[in-house]
Amino acid sequence: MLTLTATKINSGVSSAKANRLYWLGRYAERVYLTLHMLRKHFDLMIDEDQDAYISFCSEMGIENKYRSADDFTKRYLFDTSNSESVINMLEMVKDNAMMLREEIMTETLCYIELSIAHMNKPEVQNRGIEGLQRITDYILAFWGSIDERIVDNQIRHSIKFGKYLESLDLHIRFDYPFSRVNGIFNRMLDSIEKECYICDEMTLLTLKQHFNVDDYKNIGVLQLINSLFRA
Amino acid sequence: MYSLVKQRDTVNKWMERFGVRFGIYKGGNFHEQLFPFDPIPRIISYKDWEDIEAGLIQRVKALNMFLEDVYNEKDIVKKGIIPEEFIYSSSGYLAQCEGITPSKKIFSHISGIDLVQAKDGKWIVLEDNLRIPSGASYPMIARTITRKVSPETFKENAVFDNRNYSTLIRKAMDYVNVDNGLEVILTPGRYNSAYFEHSYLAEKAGVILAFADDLIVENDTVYYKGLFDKRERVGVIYRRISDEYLDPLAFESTSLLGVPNLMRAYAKGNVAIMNALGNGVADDKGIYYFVPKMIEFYLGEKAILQNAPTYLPYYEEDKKYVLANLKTLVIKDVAEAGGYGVMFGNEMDKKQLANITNLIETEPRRWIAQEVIDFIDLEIMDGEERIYRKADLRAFVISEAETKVWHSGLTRYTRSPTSFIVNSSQGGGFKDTWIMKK
Repeated sequence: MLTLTATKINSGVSSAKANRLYWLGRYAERVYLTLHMLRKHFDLMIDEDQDAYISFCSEMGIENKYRSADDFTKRYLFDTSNSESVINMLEMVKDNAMMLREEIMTETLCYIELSIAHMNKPEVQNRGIEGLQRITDYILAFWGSIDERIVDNQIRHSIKFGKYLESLDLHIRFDYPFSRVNGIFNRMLDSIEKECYICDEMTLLTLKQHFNVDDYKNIGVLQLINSLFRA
Repeated sequence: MYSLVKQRDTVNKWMERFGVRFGIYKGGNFHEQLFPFDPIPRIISYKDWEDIEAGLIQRVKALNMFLEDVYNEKDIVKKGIIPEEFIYSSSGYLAQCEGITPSKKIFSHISGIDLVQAKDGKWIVLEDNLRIPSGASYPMIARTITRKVSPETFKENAVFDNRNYSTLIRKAMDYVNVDNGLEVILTPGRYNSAYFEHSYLAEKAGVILAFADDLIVENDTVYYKGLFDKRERVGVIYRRISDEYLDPLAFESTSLLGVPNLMRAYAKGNVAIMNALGNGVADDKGIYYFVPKMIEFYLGEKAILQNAPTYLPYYEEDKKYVLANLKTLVIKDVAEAGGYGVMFGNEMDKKQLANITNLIETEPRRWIAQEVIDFIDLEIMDGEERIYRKADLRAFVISEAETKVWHSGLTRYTRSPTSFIVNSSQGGGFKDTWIMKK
């Protein structure tokens, strides 16, 4: 087969592309962690708290517009007309990923395609959250593919910056202990210190001053985290 | 090949996995759908291919020479080979391109030539596409998949590998690149019908997929807008946006898809644009009639590949013939594309025939008429059954230092038993095209 022998490397990140890289990381992590948090709440609903989905909505920061646990299961997971639904989160991942195909490559994008195809199957929707383990598997494979296939550090770390920022946000919202959250914070810092140019340094400096065991759950810290991105 | 047919569901699963789709607007809404793939390839022997290849190279060379001539000296008009009305009344002719010679004098870097094979075995050119011919990515990715799914098929059949299409594109980009700038594919965006192709080719060719907002023209030079006002020179743009939307300051002022002042940068020779602006004048359905004459005029050779017998109502004698034989001809509106504006006389009722007669009388330049080519049917799978449908072939010719034909092509077939229209926008499917090594 005739292969590409050209030596010129075409690389460039515009602000629109930086936005897409960042949101690709955020939405992919949101899908992964939302499913993780949901599993915990669905477990509670078995025999401890039938209304645990209400506290899920509250921690997630979304309106509880659901009539019952069943209604929540159907509409929060699979309803494409519900802008907050998991399937729509996946669509957002896909929207960004499709516009980044040349950077993340078809072999990475395909895990998102597979996730959406899986979620749209009626038999999967009938199984509820249990049927979505495969989505978790696909998202983990997606992250593996990001690490394995993307050789451009700036591209890879921009996506991972979005990932860790989302992870930080959700772990704080869901009341995780400082030790766990701090670990994620350090991983985010690690990505930023490599080749990631989309983090606002002044905001990061302020965040570092307030990011401690006493203050990390303050709304001001969450606001700082969500203001870190710039392009 | 039997194994390939047997495993077509697996092939389709891979297509879904790789997101092989095309977009279509229905009722004002955008939908993405899988492009129906038939596992039985179109097979072309090496001997047949040699003739087709020679004919395509000859044709595209002449078309490139015509484009250079028509925007500069206009010898072909001066010598009376093509009436000037056919040039200036063509919707594809752009006065703004007068006097512009693109990088390395290439106008049509990627030419999509639509052919059919008549029942007597002859290949006939139906249409030239010199603006933004699309579709090569589908057989390219189909081959990637079929080789995975059925390796034995390709052990048993000596077929030219077609996965080099992106390399051919990249080489053409490298060749015309101005000052070794960045190489980009400019897409109108995610909701374009061919977006899959734009993004897939950018990935495989190793170039940047750019959206209009990513580019800026300063001092008649195109730059890619990096982070925090960083500017990087762009040397070549493989644009997937029509001429009229490419620069809102030069053409359609409401276009949000284009890059303001791009035309100025292009006119000054500071960036190469693939394909060149204004190419539409050469793939106009009216100009098609003259391509064999162009070949004689510029190359001093007889055309190797024939056109379908075509009549121009512009010429009185042709008009008489067309009006007398409407019922047996196919009438095409030269302003339309994608299978639209094509009318078969034998399908028209009295009122429609009267209407088209009137239109031909009043606007003769707008129409061409062709004899209906009874082209061959190809075998396709319909469930477990093998049936026959009309199919064409879009061959891709790449012009750089040399003119080369990609050893494959997009074979499109109609899904309706009575239709001759194969376009994907009209519900057609596609096949891989195998060019045999022997």
